[in-house]
Amino acid sequence: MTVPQPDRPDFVDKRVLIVDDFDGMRNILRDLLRKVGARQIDVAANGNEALTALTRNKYDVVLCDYYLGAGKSGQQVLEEARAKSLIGASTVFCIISAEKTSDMVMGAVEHQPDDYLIKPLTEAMLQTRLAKLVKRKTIMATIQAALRAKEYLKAIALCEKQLAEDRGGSGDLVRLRCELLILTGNYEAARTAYEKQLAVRDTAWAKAGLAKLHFQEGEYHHARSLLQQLVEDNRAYLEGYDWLAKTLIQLGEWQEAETVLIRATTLSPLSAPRQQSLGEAAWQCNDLEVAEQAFRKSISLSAHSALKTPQPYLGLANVCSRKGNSKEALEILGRLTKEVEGEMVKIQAKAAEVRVHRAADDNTQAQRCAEELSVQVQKGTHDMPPAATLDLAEALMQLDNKEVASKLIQFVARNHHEDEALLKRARDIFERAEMGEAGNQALESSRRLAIDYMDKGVRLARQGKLGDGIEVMREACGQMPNNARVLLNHAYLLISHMEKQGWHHAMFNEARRCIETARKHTLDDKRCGLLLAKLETIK
Amino acid sequence: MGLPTTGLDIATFLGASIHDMKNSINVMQALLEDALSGLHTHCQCPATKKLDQVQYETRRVSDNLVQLLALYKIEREMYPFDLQEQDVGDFVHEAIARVSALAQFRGVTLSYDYPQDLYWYFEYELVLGSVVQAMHNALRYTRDQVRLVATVTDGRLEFRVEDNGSGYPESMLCDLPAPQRIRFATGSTGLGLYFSSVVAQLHKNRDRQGETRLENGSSLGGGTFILALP
Repeated sequence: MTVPQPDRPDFVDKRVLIVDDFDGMRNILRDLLRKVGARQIDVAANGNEALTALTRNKYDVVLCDYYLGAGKSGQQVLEEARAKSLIGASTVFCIISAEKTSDMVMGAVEHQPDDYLIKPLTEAMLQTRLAKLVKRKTIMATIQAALRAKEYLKAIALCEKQLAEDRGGSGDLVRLRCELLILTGNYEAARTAYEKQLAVRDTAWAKAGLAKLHFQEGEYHHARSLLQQLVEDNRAYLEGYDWLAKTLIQLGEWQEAETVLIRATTLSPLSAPRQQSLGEAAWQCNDLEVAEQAFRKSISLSAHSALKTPQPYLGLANVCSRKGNSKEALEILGRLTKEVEGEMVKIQAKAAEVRVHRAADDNTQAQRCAEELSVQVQKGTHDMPPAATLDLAEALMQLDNKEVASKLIQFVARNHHEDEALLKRARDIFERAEMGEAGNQALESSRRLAIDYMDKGVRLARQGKLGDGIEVMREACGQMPNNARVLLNHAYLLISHMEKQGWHHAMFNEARRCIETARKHTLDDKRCGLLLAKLETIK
Repeated sequence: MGLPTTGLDIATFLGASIHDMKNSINVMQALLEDALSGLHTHCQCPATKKLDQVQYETRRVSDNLVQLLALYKIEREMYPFDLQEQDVGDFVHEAIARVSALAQFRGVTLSYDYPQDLYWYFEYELVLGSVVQAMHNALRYTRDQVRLVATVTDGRLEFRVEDNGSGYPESMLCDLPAPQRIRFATGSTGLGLYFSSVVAQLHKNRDRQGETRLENGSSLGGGTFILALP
């Protein structure tokens, strides 16, 4: 039997960007692309040149080497280009590497390129794989456009349509569909799809998917045993380690989480978020050396990244402070405000500074910082994690700034009125400050505030006064901007209103904002997803 | 408690150096292929014959490095084994393309066959490494033909690399563990076959496992290398 050559791809009208720090390799790639018909080829020698080129021109294909010498890596070029919307849904972005690494197989889906091409690149590879990617991209473009517009149900429907047409090799679409089903709270359908996949083939991502479902449903013991088996069978499957560590943390097993993350960072030392997780786990275990190294690595790995976060700086400052090196801790906080942008970052750095001064018994400096802070933190717009807010409150109590400290604690209690662990810590802080009685009253009234608002809102809605109910809940959201239950109830009322009165632009956006904020603060991801899906069905 | 990532040892340098050497060889290979494509094929002058030899040896070094690097990572449980559904046709075209320049230069005719629309779960890079090195081997020992065939036999995907040379020596057909086949005089370390058997064993589907076989008496009359994947 003779087999026809695959269709000759048409690269004639495609604009291609080659990014490689090695000039010999750039020339080889350019020659290869010319052989398969490409005419418009640009080259860049490093990450910054690549980003400049991407700003100036629209490319159909980007071939970017993973290692670009000093400066940004290929992965960071991709992340920054996506974050700044320099590449659209129809651009095929391939990362070229001399070898396959764990990061490539694992990486979070949203940060993955369209494909990894392993050297040596050949004409045939460009003709088959790259051409297929270009073709596939036109299909994926509609799905990605839906994702960007946050039309998740539509994206799911598009995946299903394409899956019905595909003859095979659509593992990526099956996977994407499952993730979108989870995002929209449809756990049953996601579970069915994962199990269907596992019936065909023992696949790591499908097993990890089932474990994630257990995690989301709060079945941490189930999730743990599934993930332990998964990493045992697939020693280099990083996503398995990440979820296992997350699960262990939920179970309070920090020591084991640290061990798992050490194993994962050994396999893949170049991921800034994973080093940050290790630092956090080691800090919790009071393993200061490991924590310090991990935080330092996380900072240096994200030096050229567009996705920098303040966490490793704050973590490292904590470590230095506890080791008695407050001078370095303060230097790091200074670096934080210079290297990571944003008002919230400045506030968080200042709050950490209070704690560093406090730990060094420099109360004058601590007071000074606390005063600079007090206006902003009382407004509750500091975006600090609740545990960090309580840390700050405790430091302020010790400085005898009881008024601001109480306000901070009440802010936490209002926003997390169902979190028993946080409330207990809050009570302990009041007690240590010898404010036990007043503290209990303050906590109780904070807790009541959330409950009263919700009762009132629901009552009004039941009486058919949906508009008034929404007014009440809107006010509640203003006072409790991070209270997931309040936010979700408000979103629910807004959706109910639109179901009766029709789609309303401002309400629609308000509901989505509420759900998205709540999602960051709650473990009940399913309800967020279901509301998001419900919201999308209103048109 | 220290971080294992900072513990540099000889194995780490070994891994990094193999990686680095592989990069250099890649560039040499591409340049060489480019330079040779400018020469007239079947030109019998001594210089081109020597270049042919250089090209073949470069390939061997490259194949070996790829395999050593993969084995090193597999052994340290660091290889990102990535089982995905692959288009068998695309795979065959890519494998053929990897060896076509060398085949053309040596005057060997390449052919291939595969069932249309066949997808199969396998680790693309490892299987490509195994099949390409089997084809390089076949190019060395064949008379003038090499054939790559993909078939589904007994519920397994089989890649068969056939040639019309004089076949494998009897000693290689029996089931010897790889290291015993190392013969420094002929330059046969058995690495290629060992690598292929490791690749095959990594491919499991429930209770079934992959395997490699050598046979004589192919459709072309010479030896056959077979990689079967469940």
